[in-house]
Amino acid sequence: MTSMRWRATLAPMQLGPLTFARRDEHRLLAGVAGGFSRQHGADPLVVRGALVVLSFAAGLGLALYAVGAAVAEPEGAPLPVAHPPDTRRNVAVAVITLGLVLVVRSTGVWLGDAVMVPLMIVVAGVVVLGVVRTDSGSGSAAGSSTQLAEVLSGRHARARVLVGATLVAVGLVIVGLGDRVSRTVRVGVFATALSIVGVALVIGPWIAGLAQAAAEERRQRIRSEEREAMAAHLHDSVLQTLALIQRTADDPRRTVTLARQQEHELRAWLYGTRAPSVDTFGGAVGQMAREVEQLYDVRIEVVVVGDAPMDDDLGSLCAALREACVNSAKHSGEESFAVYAEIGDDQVEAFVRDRGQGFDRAAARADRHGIAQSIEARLERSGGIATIESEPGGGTEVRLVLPRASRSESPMLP
Amino acid sequence: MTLPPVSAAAVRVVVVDDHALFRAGVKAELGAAVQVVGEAGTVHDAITEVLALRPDVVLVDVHLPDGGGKAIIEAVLREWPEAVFLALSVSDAAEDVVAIVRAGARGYVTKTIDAAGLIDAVQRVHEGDAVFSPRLAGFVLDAFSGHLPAPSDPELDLLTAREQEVMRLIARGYTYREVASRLHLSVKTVETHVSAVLRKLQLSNRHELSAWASTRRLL
Repeated sequence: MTSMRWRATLAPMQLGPLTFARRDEHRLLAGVAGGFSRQHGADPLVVRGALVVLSFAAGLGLALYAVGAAVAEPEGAPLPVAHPPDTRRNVAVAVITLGLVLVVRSTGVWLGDAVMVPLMIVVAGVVVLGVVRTDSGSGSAAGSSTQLAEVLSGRHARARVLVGATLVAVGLVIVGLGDRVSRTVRVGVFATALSIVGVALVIGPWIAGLAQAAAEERRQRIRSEEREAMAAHLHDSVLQTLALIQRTADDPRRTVTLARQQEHELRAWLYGTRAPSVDTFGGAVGQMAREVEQLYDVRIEVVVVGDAPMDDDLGSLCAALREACVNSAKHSGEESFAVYAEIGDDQVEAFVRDRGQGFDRAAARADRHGIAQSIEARLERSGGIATIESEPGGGTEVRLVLPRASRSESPMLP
Repeated sequence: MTLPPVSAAAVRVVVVDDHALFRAGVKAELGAAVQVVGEAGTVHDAITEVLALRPDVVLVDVHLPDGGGKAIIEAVLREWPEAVFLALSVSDAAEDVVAIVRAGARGYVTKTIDAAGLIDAVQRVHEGDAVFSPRLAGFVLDAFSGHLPAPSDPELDLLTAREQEVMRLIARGYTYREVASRLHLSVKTVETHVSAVLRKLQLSNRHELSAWASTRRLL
């Protein structure tokens, strides 16, 4: 299971080009750490922590930062995909840092374990305290107040704060108890630790309250933005239509058409998470029916079973279907009729049925170019068949069948 | 449409909808053919009203502020299992339709239905039949289509060839009577097939049905 997950995520884990751009927003110095982490999927805080630790190791961190600032692309340069922060990459950065520290230690240019070990533990603690974005998803640049709110109210907040605080405390204690540390330093460290605890106790609740207020404010803002967007939409659509309807009150048919158009639009807006897509046959048929409804002031009940991506053959089927709909709209004398399409594995079947006046095909053949040309010929070119059942007074049903032999495995859409 | 042998005026109906305007419209439309004995605008009112009046048919809106038609149907059926519901909706979203039918509605029609169609639908559910709109028939065909994995209970999870034929014709816009004459059956047989499909839709446990309904939003 674990190995599966690793393998599955391996592909996007390939290192991209080593280049990265300095980042302008939320930068602390030149935006090197931010740019690097954005490009390579580590948390900026981890990178910054690593740089701080390495700066104490013979100034390696400072050197790396300078090199980074020199080789980085200027801000805003177009770059390949940005990696979202990733725990494994954070761990990788930490391990590389540790390796570099050990290398520097073996060279002898070293401040001494008494300083470096506690320093690393404290930095690790600060990083754990601050890394929020890896488990809160996107890692997009949230404002500092909301980031604070997430630290304090996030899912793993308590555990994170506990671990971070413990690491910081352990680091300070090691400094305080170290043999080679002078008494003055020891007292200073303990005094600092006590002050930090005291300050935390005093202002902790206040900060928590602040964070809560910020989160609440954010919620309110989202809500009011939502409401404004909705008001704007209703104003542009529903209110306009209602105004139009009041002016066309003496023309019932026009009123009905307006109301129906608005209904379609509003419904698509309310229930359609996706815009009515014409990339699938079902979407294209729905779109076609709406167009015919608007052009001819009719109502078409559309039912589609199954679906498939659009292709040329389905395109001509849809065009033939449209022609059949237009015929029903123009000649049946009925204001409403039905379209039914079923997409199966081996064929697509579509019907247009009205209960209108019907016609006698033998008599109508001469002047009904629409049927012969647009429906039958069009469909036959794609290997399909059109049959028309109609009798005077008994309504008309057009049946269009298109075999789909070439597509043995039909990609059913979910 | 065939008129039932019982006097149509005898059908007593309660209309549940949160829009007073719509209730008034339905009342006016149903006119003399159906007797509207009560109305309600909230879930709570509807439950008390229906249990007190014991109407023949309850016309219930799918979308209501505090719980929707589903809550009413479930609450009333617990107390009075013989109650008959016909669902009315503006939405036509697959998950709404399937949910309300599975809650126990005997039929489903959209609010754009004309007066004659609505009266016919009320009388039909009153006589014990199911009312399937073309849209609902399409949903059923889609939900029970053979593309899904093997059914766990073929009795409930598959449509017979005949039932599929009937559903296809209804989806194509045929009335029950037109379906009957096309398939050379009696109207009663067609009604039996539709009722069987309704039962399958209500009782089938195939989880694809609900998964399908929530992922697919046909409009």
